[in-house]
Amino acid sequence: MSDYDVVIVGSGAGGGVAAWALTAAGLRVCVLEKGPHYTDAQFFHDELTICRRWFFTPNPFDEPNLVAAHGKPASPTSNGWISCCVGGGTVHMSGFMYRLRPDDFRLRTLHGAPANSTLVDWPIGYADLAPYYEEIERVVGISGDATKLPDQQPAFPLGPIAQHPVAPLIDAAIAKVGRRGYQTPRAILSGAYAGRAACHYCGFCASYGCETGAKSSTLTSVIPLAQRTGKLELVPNAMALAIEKDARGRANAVVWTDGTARHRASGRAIVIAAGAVQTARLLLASDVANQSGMLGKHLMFSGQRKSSGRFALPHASFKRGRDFPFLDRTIADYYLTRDARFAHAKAGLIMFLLPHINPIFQAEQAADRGEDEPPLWGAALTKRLRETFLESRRVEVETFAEFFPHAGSHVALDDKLKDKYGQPVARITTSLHPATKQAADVLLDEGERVLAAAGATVERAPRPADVYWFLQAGTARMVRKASDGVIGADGQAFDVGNLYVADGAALPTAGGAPFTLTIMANALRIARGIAARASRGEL
Amino acid sequence: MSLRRREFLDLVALLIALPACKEKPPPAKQEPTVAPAGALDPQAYRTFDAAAARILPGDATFAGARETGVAAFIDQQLTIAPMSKLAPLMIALAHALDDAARARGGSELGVLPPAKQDEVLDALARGALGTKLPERELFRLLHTFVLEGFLSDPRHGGNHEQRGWRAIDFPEPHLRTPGGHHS
Repeated sequence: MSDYDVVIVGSGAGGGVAAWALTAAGLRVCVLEKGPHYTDAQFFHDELTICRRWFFTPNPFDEPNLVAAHGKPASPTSNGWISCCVGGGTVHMSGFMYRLRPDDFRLRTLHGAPANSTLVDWPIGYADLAPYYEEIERVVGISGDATKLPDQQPAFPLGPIAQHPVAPLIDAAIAKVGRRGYQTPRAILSGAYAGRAACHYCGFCASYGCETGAKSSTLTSVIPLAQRTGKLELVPNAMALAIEKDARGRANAVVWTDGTARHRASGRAIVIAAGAVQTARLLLASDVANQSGMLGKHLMFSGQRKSSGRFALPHASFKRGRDFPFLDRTIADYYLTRDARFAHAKAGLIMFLLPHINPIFQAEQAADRGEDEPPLWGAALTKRLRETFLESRRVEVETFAEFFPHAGSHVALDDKLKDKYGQPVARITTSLHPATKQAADVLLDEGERVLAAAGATVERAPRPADVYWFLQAGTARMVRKASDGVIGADGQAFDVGNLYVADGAALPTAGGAPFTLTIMANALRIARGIAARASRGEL
Repeated sequence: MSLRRREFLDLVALLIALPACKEKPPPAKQEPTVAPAGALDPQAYRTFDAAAARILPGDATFAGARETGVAAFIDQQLTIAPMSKLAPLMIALAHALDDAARARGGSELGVLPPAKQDEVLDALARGALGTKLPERELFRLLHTFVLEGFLSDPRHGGNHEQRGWRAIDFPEPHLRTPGGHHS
């Protein structure tokens, strides 16, 4: 007799949604969450504590990841963690919500795999996911104007959030260079919704937890729904150590620790949703689901480059007092492209936004001269900070280039370094496929053209293309053929019955766009499949 | 977004790079507001105050690192776990800066003429001070501490009387209070 019907590891975009869908179907669910269970009232605005120390992630002294990025030697860091608290990364996300587009599910077939990539098609199509996208958008609360999006889709439940007065200037500049832009849909409530208050535009959004519950995290949206069913046991501060199997080789329990004692939670099905890095680490440490040798491979992020446009003050678009903190503009003209500057038909998105509200980040960015030069200091630094904060305002541009999976990006267990629990740490190796790098570079050029057309002085960040650590995918990917990945279309491991993966690790491609919404929709789809199996008595 | 969270330094790597530096962590304090000053000896405190003032100098209308109390911020940070693990390394850095000052005719960094202080810091930034410390990384760490002490909440020991925020005209600090609204 199992303790629960389903045990879920993780409570973020994947685990939180799965917990809601399964409890709503009447199943008894236990969620093991590594971090604490904060209430909205426990979030506060402190640049140092929240953004620059380790409020949401373990600190690198106790629980490092070993990261070797872009050919540099491996070094212990907290990069590679997303967020350890109930709600996971959705608590501190910016909440840029994009659906994948129909071609994304068949990129390899339709457009070919770049040389030396390990690109595969999805085992499902857009039509399979579309109803779940719509349901998630409605249940968690997404704000946007669907009529402006490149593909047809139903209206969002809430209209777009208010924009900074510079938005019309950026729109005009986008039109001037012959591109088409739209307002990025966001997981922030533009009005009161489902018993939650509307955003009050404090601006402490990305990197912070929302103290009013207006950000549509799983902590705020679906986890309370799961709790109301009376079927959820939510266990915070529970670090999963291993997956156990029964005599017939089916997953049936998770061993976890609260830091002092070991515990065991048994279930008829086990769902892993700890984030692509930690999901792979847990499965590897448990020595399960790796018959194909693909577990931990195909680690994907997003190809990111940044630049900014500086507008000298005084400026009509930057007057003090009534500045809403958000600028959300997306150009998707190169999402799929025939432009010869790109190596592949799939390039990615260009996004315009305002600088992060944390002035320490802004000062650091202003002083940065790249990896090889020390940052600006002395009178030059004072001058630069004056320019940055007192004499100008900035609009930033960022790229989200399609991250083609390849042999140079993967997670493994380190054979020496252990965390404070005595568990081997994740050893992350990553680099960008040349097609991703090229796409990021060209997308950045295009973004800078817009900023220049808006009258800004363009200042490119002195850093080459990098990965965006919070968006991680692919390490237990969902495929048609067992030899290509780890799980099938239903989310279940090919070689371990009743073991499911429902986070970013499941995604076969990363989309060239933030994919939080896709993780949520796919987790809902997988959870509904588990519930259907349970109702047929198949678990 | 989002995309801003880049680990500014591999702190653990720094520690590993310095086996010679015996770790003797001061008592850890969880709550910054009650942490007493005290990770740094008075000379190290003065040396970081001097170094910070050269890294981010102020003037008549712009409060710099000294005016905002960056040394007090560093002193406090190094008493709080897990940053306290960096205290021995930072003290070794202060000693190295003072050694370099002595080689240039001063008893510690802060008594050198400003141009000579800059010479020492420039050598540190370029990794040319001639010590066994990871010099370039330590310059970045010190630089990071300066910006953090300049612009973080005063409860962390720096940004005295919000002088840093006022220097950069940090807009609408009342919104820092959760629940604060646009007027």
